[in-house]
Amino acid sequence: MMTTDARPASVDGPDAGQRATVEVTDREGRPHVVEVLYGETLMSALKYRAQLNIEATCGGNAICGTCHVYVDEESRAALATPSEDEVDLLDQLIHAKDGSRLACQLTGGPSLVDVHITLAPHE
Amino acid sequence: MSVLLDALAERDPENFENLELGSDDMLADVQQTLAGWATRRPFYVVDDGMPLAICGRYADVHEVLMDTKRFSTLIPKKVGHEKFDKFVGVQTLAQMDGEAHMRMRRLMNPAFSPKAMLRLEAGVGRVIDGMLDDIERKRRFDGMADYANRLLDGALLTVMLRLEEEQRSIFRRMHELIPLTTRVKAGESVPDVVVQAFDAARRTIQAVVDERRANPGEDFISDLLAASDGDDRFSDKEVFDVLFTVCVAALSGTARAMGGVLYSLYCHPDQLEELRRDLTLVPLAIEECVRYHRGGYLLFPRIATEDTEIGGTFIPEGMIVRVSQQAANYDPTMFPDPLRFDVRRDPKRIMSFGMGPHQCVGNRLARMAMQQALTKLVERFPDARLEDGQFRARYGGAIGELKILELPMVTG
Repeated sequence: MMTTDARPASVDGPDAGQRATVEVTDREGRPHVVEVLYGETLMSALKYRAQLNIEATCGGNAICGTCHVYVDEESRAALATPSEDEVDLLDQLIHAKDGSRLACQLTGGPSLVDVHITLAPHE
Repeated sequence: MSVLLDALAERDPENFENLELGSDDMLADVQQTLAGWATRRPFYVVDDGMPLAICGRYADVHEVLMDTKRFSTLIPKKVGHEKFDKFVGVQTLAQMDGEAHMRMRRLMNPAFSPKAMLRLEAGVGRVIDGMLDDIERKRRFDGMADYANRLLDGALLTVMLRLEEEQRSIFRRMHELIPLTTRVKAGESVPDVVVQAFDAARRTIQAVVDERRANPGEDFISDLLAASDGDDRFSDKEVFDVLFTVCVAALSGTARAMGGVLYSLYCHPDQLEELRRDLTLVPLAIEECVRYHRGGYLLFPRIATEDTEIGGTFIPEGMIVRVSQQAANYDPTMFPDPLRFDVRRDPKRIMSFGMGPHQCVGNRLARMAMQQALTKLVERFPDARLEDGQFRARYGGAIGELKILELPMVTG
């Protein structure tokens, strides 16, 4: 499902206040710990909450590829399978490889707890 | 319309600006004007009797562009809206929303992807070399007519679409006439000369489509037709709309952007010298150039779909909202000391190619072509300069565009 961009989301309902902790390695190799609210996209947390250097220009529509991340092998199985649109877009990127995902298509929830990701190089 | 005007005048009377968009007065010192927009809340102007909201602060522009539900690009046809039908009924990517937009966008994406740019790089480089050969024979040249305007003509129409000179000239003609559509007054029709040019473009696109269907090759149009002839069929109208978007809209935008690159750099000889000494700075320099002087000051109009508010300003349902991505690039909360031009600034999240679902599909092609054009120009003519060191640009083009009319330069 495509999402529209949101600055750090406020999540209502039973998940309100819950968050997943994601370990992030930036392009310079520096480690960060980023909290992702349940229901919020990983892209939104990286861009707005953590202020990391990702462009994410299309706002969560899986059409620009500028929130490309690599998910560590041991973390991948827990994540939802990418949609056909996400796979198509990743296929157009030079730096795509096993574990590539678009952060705008990953949503905070139990599957993101303790996941480790690395920001992919700029295209 | 006067009801809306009266309501706004009563509710927020201090927030009207006496400004004629696109007037000589406004363009005389456009940079300072836009820097002012970058630090004030959204304000109203009255254009041909109709109130519009103008947004210039980064956060306000971002909010409008990201929320296509509250701010739609689908402008209803009615009296007073004629000037917003810039492409005379053709539905370009910039004027559609929702799933229809996403469908066309995804169809176009592969042709403008990072991988596609790698394939195009060498061909674009050869086109630029040819342009520089022509300039070398002249010594005095016009940075616009001889370089910026020809860049995308070469990169896009020649290399990517494989169009013949006669076909390209028809799109160039359209590109010249489109500004007239943005100056149509309420109740008036588009000039005949524009209608005729659109008809010629329509015929040309149809002929090219027929030819590529019969003889497909390795080019964007053949790829587009292959995709459209698959299970998820595209109508002839959709194919036309995509090709029109690419041939006309993109052509104009990048020519103006490249003009801004040359103007920004060659008006700052100290920065140009830094670049000459270290050409690895070119990608950063291009980002700073398009932040500092992009090819326009207003994006395609949006219309409010409900009563709402942006940055503390009331926006009633049905109001046209114009956002200025150039003003957003001068917002000091995002870009400190924004009117300082610095090729080492490395600006992040510039608004030059838009933001959100309507972010420019061709931004990678434009960046790649401009990076090559700048590198090759500086390498070939390291002593190139503006003919007049005090030169200040005059602008033309459509309302909302910053199309530099001429840029007299010498090769050394």
